[in-house]
Amino acid sequence: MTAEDDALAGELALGLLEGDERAQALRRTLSDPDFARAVEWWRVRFADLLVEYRPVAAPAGLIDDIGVPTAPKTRGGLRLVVSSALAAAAAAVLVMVLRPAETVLPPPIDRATTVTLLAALQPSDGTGTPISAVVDGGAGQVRVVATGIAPAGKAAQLWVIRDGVPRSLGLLSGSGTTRLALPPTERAALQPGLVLAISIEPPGGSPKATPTGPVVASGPLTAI
Amino acid sequence: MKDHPADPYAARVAICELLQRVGTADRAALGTLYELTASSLFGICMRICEERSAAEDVLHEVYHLIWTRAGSFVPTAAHPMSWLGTIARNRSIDWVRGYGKRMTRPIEDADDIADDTPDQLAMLERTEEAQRLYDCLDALDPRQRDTLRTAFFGGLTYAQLAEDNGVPEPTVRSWARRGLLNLRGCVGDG
Repeated sequence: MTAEDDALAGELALGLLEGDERAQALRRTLSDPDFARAVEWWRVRFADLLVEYRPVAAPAGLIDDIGVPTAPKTRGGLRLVVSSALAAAAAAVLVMVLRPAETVLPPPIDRATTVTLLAALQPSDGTGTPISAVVDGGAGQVRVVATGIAPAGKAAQLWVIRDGVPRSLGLLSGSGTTRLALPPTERAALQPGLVLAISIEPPGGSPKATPTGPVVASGPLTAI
Repeated sequence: MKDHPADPYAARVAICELLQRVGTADRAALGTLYELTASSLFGICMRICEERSAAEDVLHEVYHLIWTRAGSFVPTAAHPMSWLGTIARNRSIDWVRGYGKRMTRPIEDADDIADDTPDQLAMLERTEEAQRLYDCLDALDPRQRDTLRTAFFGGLTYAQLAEDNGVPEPTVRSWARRGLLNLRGCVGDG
C-alpha cells in the first residue's frame, strides 16, 4: 500500500469517485484485502462526522413489507403492493366471471429466494440459552450467533438432518456470528420442520460425512 | 412515538439489543428500530439524494439491508449508529452514482418537517478518535478541509465539487488527495 493507494481508499470511502474509476476501486476491495482494510479504516474514521447530519422525519409504514416472506424484494412502496394486489384480485374476479369452471391459482412464490427460516437450537444438556440460527433464502446463507460452543482445540460443526441423514452446513467460528453459504442442494431443500444440530468435532470438522462427536444443541426450523 | 431513550448510553444499549433481535429475524424489533432511528437515517438519505421519493426508496433499501445484515453487527466494534449511518450514507451514494442528482430544489427545504424523536446520531459520543479526527480536520488547509467535509456530507463527486467551486476538476482532486494524505498522517493508525 502506497500513500497513493491510501488516498484512493479515502476517495472511495468518501464517495468522490464515479464511473469507471469507482468501479475499478470497488473491484479492488474484493481482490486486495489491504486496500479493503484501508477503505474500511476511512469509513470508520469518517463515521465520526455522521453526528452532523440533521434528522428528517421519516414516513410511517415505509418498511411494512420488509421481512414479510411474500413481499416483493424491490420497493414500489406500499401503494404499489396494494395496487398490484388489487389488480390481481380484479383480474381473478374477471377470470372467474369469464371462465367460472376454472380454478384460479395464486401466482407461484419463489420460496428459495424469499423464505426466511428460524431455528432456536436448544442445548442438549438443558442448560444455557438457545442458539439462534437464521436461514436467509434470499442471501443463500445461514447465520448462527453463538460464542464458546466448542472447547479449546475442538470445532463446532452445523448440520441439517434431512431424510434422516445429517448433512454438514459448515464450521462455526469461535465467537459471534457465523455466516455460512448454503450448498445449492441444501438451499433448495431447507424447509420448516427440518432439524439443525451442532456437534463437537476435531479441528477442521468431522473426518466423516456424519458427526463423530457429541451433539450439543439442536432444534427444528420454523417459517416466520 | 414512545419510550425513546433520551440517555445516550441507554439508547446505545437499546439499539444494540434491537439489532441483535433483528439479526434473529424479529420483525417487531425491526419496527421499533425504525421508530428509533429512521429520522436520523432519513436525514442522511435526504441530504445526499436531495429528493424525497429517492430518499424514501433508499431508506427502504437501507432497512432491508439492516434486516438481512443485522446478524453480522458486532455490538462492541462500533457505535450502532455509526454502523447504521454508514449503511445509509453508502446506499445513498450508490443511488446518486447510479441515477444522478436531480437538483430540483434547495436542500434546506428538506428539513422543514419537525421530528420529535431524539436524534440518535447526535448521541454519538465525542470519543477520543472522533476528537482527533476533528482536531486533524481543523489543522488542514481550509480548502482541503472544506473539500473533504463537503464531499462527505453531500456525497459529491469530483465533477460536482469542481462545478460548485468553479475550478477545474484536477484542482479539486489535488485538494482532496492532499487533504486525505495529511489527515491520514495526522490521525495515524488509531
